[in-house]
Amino acid sequence: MRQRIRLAALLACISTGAWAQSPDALPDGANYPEPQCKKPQADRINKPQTYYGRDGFDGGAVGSYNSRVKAFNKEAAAYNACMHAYIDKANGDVKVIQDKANADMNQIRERANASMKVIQDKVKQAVADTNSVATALDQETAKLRSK
Amino acid sequence: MSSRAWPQAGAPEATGSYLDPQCNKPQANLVKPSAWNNESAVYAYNAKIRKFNRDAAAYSTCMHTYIDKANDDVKRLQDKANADLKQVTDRANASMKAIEDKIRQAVTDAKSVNAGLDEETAKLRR
Repeated sequence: MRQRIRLAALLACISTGAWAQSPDALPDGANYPEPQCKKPQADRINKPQTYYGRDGFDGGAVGSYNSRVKAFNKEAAAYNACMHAYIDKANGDVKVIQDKANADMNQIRERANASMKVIQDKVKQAVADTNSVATALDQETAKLRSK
Repeated sequence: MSSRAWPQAGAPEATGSYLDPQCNKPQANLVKPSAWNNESAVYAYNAKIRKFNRDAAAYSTCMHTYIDKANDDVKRLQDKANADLKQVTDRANASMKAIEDKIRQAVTDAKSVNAGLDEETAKLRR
């Protein structure tokens, strides 16, 4: 009579289309959608109204209760699947954001380092050129002194 | 000698190249006396020396200006890169936190269904 409501299937998706998102778009954390999963209502499974009459067991009430339990279990399984899908998708989106940020940061570093190297090479060359003028002057002065 | 370093370039990071210094190098090997025993030759030599010294000073100023500008540009690039890195990090962290908060809420909601079910089961057992 007391059918136990199984707890195993808890989370699932009544609506399987969680939300629309274009494939290339970076997930928008600020406007991230809520899960669209319909919660099963355990309190709607009322206690079965049974009694033992002259004929014994009230099969009608038990059958009605059992079908409410079955319906609940089905909804709970759908809710379970839906919430797991939502959480998996959300974790995937976090990873997408993290990977994109890492790629962007690498690109920023590489570009900046390449640009800075170009300028630093020019600075080195400018310093060498400046020093070469002083060296040339020293050489010419030495030549004059030797005459 | 040109005392102007070089035309102002655009953002150095945008070009991938950088202008060379536009400074006229003084030629020390051209400053030679034609004779030592001739007053006008010595006067001419002294004039060449003075001109060379002016040219060398202008060249030095021009090259120092170039080097200072180039070092400033390196610093600008570095500052811009650091600002960009911070912006990327801040945005990513904010987005990830928002989604992680939703995940936490989803887990809490799922658990609340479980808890509600436990309560109903307990009622039936009584």
